Amino acid sequence: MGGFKRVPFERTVRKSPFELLSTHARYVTKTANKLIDAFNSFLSGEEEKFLKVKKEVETLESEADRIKGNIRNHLPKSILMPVDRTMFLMLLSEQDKIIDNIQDIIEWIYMRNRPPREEIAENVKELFNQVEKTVAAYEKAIGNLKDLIESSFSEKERNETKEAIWEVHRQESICDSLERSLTKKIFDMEDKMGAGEILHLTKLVMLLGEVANRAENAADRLRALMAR
Amino acid sequence: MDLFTSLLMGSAVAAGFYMAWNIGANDVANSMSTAIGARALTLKQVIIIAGILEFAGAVLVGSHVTETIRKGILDNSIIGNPQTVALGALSALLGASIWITLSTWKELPVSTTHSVVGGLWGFGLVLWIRTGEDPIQWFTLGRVFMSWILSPLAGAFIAFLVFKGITYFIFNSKNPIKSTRIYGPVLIGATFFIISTSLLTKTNLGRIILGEQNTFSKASLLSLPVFAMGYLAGYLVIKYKLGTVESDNYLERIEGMFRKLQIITSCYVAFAHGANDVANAIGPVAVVINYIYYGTVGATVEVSPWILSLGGLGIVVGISTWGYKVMKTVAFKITKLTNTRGFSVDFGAATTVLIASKFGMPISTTHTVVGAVVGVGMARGLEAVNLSVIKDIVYSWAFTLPVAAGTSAGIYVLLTTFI
Repeated sequence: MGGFKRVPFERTVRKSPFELLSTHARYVTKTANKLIDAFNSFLSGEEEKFLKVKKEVETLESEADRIKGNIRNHLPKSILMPVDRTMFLMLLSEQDKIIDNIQDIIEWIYMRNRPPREEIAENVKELFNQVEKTVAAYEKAIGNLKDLIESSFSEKERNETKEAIWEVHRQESICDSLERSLTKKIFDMEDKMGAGEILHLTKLVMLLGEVANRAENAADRLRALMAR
Repeated sequence: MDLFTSLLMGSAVAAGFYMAWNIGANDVANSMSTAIGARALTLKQVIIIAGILEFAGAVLVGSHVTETIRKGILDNSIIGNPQTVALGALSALLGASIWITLSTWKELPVSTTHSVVGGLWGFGLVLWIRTGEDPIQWFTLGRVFMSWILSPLAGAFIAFLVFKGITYFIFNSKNPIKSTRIYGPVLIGATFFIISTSLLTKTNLGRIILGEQNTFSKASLLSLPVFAMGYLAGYLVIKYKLGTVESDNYLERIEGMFRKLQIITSCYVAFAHGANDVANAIGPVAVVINYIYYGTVGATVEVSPWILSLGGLGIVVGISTWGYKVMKTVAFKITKLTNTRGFSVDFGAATTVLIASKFGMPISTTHTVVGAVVGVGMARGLEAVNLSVIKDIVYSWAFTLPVAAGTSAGIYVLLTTFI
């Protein structure tokens, strides 16, 4: 129905950008879940399966990008939000970078698609799992935003969200220690490896660490967002 | 009845019905929008309730006596010439109708009430030029204009306070469920108080119950026991319905309590809207009809039940032909409001409308509702409030008086030239 109405109420109450933020966060988790699939096909050397996962991640990434653009386009300066608009957009941008980093990992694996040797395979897998856990903890923290807003930032909901943010920090720090021990292990074996293998593995570890770091950063943005 | 009077009567009735149709088609969607937005009622329920209560409000409470010149913005001395007044009322109504059509097409948030005031002003300007005597009560007009600006601000302020209060006393308390049990009945009592006071102040109902002097103070005094009844009823309902255990879904349970409260306020808003706004559409019709039947027009004019019914019917036809479509797009386009927010908006708007009608100010229910939404947004209650709508409303204030006045003046000049 085009014109012939004058309902300022409809124009006043806008579609919630927070709902779209949660949808975007769900894409982050979905993409993170693909990491394990990618790793498994990487480990077993099934190139076809790996390419399928790679394709899926690309689709997820572009979908998430579309949501991000949608949120930004519908958030002009004249929109009054219960949180700082700039902070909100910064959180969104940090959240989106998690997906970009995951895509970087998939691409990096693809560059040299040879499975890691048996001695370290378990450690690499452990790191992949831990990264996924960190992202899952982040999605849980973002999920609290709904209750936070509904209760108009009550003390109780703030404490629950803070607790969820702490959980992201805890998971990220486990990631950190796994990264360190794995890097150490790789260099301990440097005599048995070629330069290519060392480079590929160490950078893979760094890229994985980056995903967890991004999740932590995004969680910190959430912390700033709910500050009075 | 000769051709002239039949034409005069026909066009007055048609324009009055058209204005009432417009109120039903657009303004009802605005006043019921919080109920739709908060899904306190389904769309079907909203349409049925709006249809019945708007009609009931228009016919039962809609003032049975209308001032010939709404809110006295023109001097009563012009009443000396009844034909002038009748033609002026018709011009004002037609001018307002045309402006409303134009603004609806352009989706401008224009008020039907303001348009009729603008139309009368234009008619007054023509009289001034023709007779050299200025009939316009500029001070009154200024006061009316100020009330247009103040009413959304008042709606915003009250809604802000109500929502902040809910946040402070309920959401932020150690035990929100327990707090709801303490403060819920107070809010229910206050809602009953406001409804009762506004139903009794200067209405037919008030005249039956309180006698001729049905003033605000008398009405509010009688509403005190109504407050107590509301408090008691609320206390009992909450005691048995809300449950006592503090559990995870406490937010849902609090919203559920406010949902019931919001159904009451929504019904009240529909009723009050019918009662207040029907006068815009049919006040001028009553003046014209009075002139045709009695040949005279007094300072006040009797509004017969059939004219009130005409207005009520127009509103209902407006809701059922166009209003439900408008409401459907509103429901579809906006994010779900929670009931605490919906209640705060309704409470802020209803209280402002009550205060304004006590002072006899012809304000816009729509603008007041929008003001109340912004107020809740300011209290960090809403996820996204579009502030650019404020700009649109300010534009509508700036344009309504000159455009409705200009059109009305043109029509009056045409009518008097050819008759």
